[in-house]
Amino acid sequence: MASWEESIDRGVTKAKQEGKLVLVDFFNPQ
Amino acid sequence: MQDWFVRVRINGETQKDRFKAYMVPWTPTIVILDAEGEEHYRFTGFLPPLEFNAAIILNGAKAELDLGNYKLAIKCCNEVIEKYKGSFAVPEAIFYLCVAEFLSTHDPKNLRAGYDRLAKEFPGSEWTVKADPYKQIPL
Repeated sequence: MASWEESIDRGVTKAKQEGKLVLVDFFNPQ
Repeated sequence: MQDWFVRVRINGETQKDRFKAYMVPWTPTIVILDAEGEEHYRFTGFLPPLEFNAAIILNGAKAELDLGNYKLAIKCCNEVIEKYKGSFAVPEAIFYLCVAEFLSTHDPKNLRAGYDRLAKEFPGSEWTVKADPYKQIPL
């Protein structure tokens, strides 16, 4: 399973380093 | 797909500030950002796995199109069309496929071919209506 980041800023930094897009899943656990 | 995206989950109970910052009123909402953090596309509402995967690939393809990565956009549109036959995303994927092919080649016949395919396979689709002007392009 691919890991999920919990921070958009961290995801964007990682995407910049790896040349990827960022997929953000806004969810409500209820 | 996991090689293409860095995946981020934002919890509505613990990260309300992020919901506000991105103006997300309802879940689930999927937002596609580029590597500069600029938003390209989003969609809201539950989708079953096949439709969800098709929507992710299609919206990723559209983001790549925005960024001028036409070959990747074409590859991903074709993946939606071929691998997710019958999904809601296919007509839109055909539309963006012909746009990406046109932007890649500057040959307007790609737009006409896209219209012809949509008119034949999806005559009632909004994407066929959106492609309607391309029927004027001579083959």
